[in-house]
Amino acid sequence: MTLVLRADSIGKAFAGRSVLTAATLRVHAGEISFLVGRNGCGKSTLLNIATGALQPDYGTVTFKGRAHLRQTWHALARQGLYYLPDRDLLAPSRTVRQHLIAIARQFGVGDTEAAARVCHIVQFLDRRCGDLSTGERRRAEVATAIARAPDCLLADEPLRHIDPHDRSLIANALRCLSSRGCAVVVTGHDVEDLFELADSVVWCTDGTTYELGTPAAAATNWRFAATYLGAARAVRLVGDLATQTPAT
Amino acid sequence: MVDLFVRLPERSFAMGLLLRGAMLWLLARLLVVSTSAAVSGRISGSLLPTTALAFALGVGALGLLDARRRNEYRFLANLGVSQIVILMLATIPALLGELALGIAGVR
Repeated sequence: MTLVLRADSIGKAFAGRSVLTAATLRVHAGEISFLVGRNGCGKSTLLNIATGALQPDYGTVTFKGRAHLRQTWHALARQGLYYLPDRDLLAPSRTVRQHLIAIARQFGVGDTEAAARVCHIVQFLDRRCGDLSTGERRRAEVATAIARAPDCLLADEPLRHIDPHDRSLIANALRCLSSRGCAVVVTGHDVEDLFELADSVVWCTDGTTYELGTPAAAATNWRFAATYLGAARAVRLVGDLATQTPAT
Repeated sequence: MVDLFVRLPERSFAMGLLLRGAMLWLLARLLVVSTSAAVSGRISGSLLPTTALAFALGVGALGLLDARRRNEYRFLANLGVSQIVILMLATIPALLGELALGIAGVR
């Protein structure tokens, strides 16, 4: 599989407190990676650095085979990266439709109506983003990513504030993007949903990252289970994933 | 190749930045005139060319801050628009306004 994005040996400290010391993130075309870790472990920092929204203290970011010494968000966005931050992506004073049309006009891609249908937001396309509920706004944000049809999507907590019914819609939308060759990274604490969605799991802990392999392999990693999942949840996940495997 | 370095935002976002830049310049100018009137007792809107340029850049910086406050900056970054371009768009109305005042010879 083609390596689309690589953030290598990333280090970052805030006010003398080291958050990342040697974190690596590798994202392949057509694959959904789940970046997982406890609160404050540096997941969002790593995504911010990979996208160019934040500069690392050391380490390099390579996007589509081109190494960037000082990557910037807008430059990577032009090359096909889309970043869904954990909140506040859309302008509250503008409508959802205005955002979707802006993407379609800017890149000459995307079917705005289809993106709206996929994320179940057709009924409030003409409402201002500031008037939407948190969950509706989140779905609208995901819809902008679908409309963009990027080569690489970094989604920080895409399922946050989304109800169980619409989670499956969003998961399907992300799967659809991935099936078209988009490299996707998701974060979050909705472990059951994201384990079901992801192809691989990357664990962020103690300032570094570990590639744990498939979700089934990750759930059986004793250190990951003990430190993050908790024993009971790990056992349940292994059972769930085992029952899903024959169906897929 | 130009697109690699400068990408303008989509029309409605660009118009928004230009309009808000014009509004900010107008308000800032009114503030300058009223302050100068209060201090010197006479209405004067004239600025030296370098001061006018700095003034326009200051207004542009305010426009950039306003775009960040409105959460437009993140979405525009995803559209491939840099902060320099946002600053530039927010500065253009102020520059044009100062130029117009200079040509009209406002004293």
